[in-house]
Amino acid sequence: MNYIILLLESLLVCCMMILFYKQGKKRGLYLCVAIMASILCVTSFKLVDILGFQVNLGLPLVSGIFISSNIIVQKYGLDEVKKIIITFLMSSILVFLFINLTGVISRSEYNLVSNLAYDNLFAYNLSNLRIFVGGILSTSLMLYYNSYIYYYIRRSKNRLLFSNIGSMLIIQFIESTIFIILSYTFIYSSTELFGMIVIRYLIKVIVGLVGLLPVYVIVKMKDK
Amino acid sequence: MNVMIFLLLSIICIGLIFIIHKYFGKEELYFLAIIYAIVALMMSFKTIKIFGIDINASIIFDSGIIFILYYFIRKYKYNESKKLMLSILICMLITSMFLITTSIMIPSLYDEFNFSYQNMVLDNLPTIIIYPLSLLITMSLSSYCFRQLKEEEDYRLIKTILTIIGITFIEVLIFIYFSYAFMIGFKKALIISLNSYLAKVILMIIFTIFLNIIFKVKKVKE
Repeated sequence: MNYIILLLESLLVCCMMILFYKQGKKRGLYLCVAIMASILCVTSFKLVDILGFQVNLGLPLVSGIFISSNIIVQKYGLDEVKKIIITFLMSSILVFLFINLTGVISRSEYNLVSNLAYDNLFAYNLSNLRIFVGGILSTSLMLYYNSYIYYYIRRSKNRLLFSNIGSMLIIQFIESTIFIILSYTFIYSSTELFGMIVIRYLIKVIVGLVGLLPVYVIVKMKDK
Repeated sequence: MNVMIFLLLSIICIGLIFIIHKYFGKEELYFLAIIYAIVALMMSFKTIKIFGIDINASIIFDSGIIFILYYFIRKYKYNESKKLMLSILICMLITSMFLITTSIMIPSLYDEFNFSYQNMVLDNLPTIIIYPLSLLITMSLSSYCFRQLKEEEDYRLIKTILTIIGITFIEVLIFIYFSYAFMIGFKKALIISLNSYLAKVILMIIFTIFLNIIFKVKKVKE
């Protein structure tokens, strides 16, 4: 069940990128980054079981952010990196701030189950805050290095496949390691942490390979 | 405390539109609309108690979306506002799909938040379905009315406020009444709808006045 949903989410991310690019070109891709970062602020706190290890939800979204970043760098150059990171950081911080501020407001007695669930999930929960900080630090840092690695592989090989897979294999491993260490050290044992890093890395690589489809489609499209 | 946070969120909501108007351009306004859409959808899951009445928390950022649309119609061509509406709608649909699919995934045994997450999403399934639909209807209606108002010269502010009062009624009726009616019953839904309508109308009138002041502020970036 979980594997099918992961695949469906990966396809949804791919369709979203193509759709937004067709509608808004460069702006569309930036909006994609903003949407994925915003949804991540809600979903990444939940853990699911994959191959016996805990994995955060929304991994297709993390991979989607990197794929969008690669497409932007491929089409519009390395100067866009700063703007990509700012878009990611601003959308994450704003959504997290607003949603958690609402969690602090006293709930009504109507629709109590939903209100309690909302307050339990958000309302500045400390473990959520740690996952959030781990997420934004690891992703923004790696977005920066990813763009440079992508750009330099592209310059030396000039093959779309090499630059995408090369940057993905290196960057996703470092991102997974930083995220898991920042978010879950002292909560799980070192064996579990290692397993979580490996599973997170593998899923992101698989999603990244599925993501080559929108990369090819979008790069081949011509801007009007 | 509750009132303070509510006011703070309202000030941030209109304040960000002001900052983008003064220092940034159209692209950043698109970005803000997307953020507001996702935040409004998430906030629609919570009913808050403020000034002694029970209201849906989404009304602040929901109003923000309508005012970004108003800004677009006043400042840019109709084609741009159509693109904005489409972007917001796709964003809402994608967020809804992600929320539903992630909530039905088999959770980890160690996950302490799973029960809350599933409760929040699956209990609010009518909200997730009705909210994008109601927003589409509200945005289409608003877009039509604001375009007509753009041509008006006399008493534009009063006419805009009256239009907003009408549109808010339709939105509250479709979204808040029907989504709550499915979840907690028609009678309680009516109380929340009326309270939310009252609060939203006041908020939107204040926002309209502010937005008309914002239009007079000179932009740094054209």
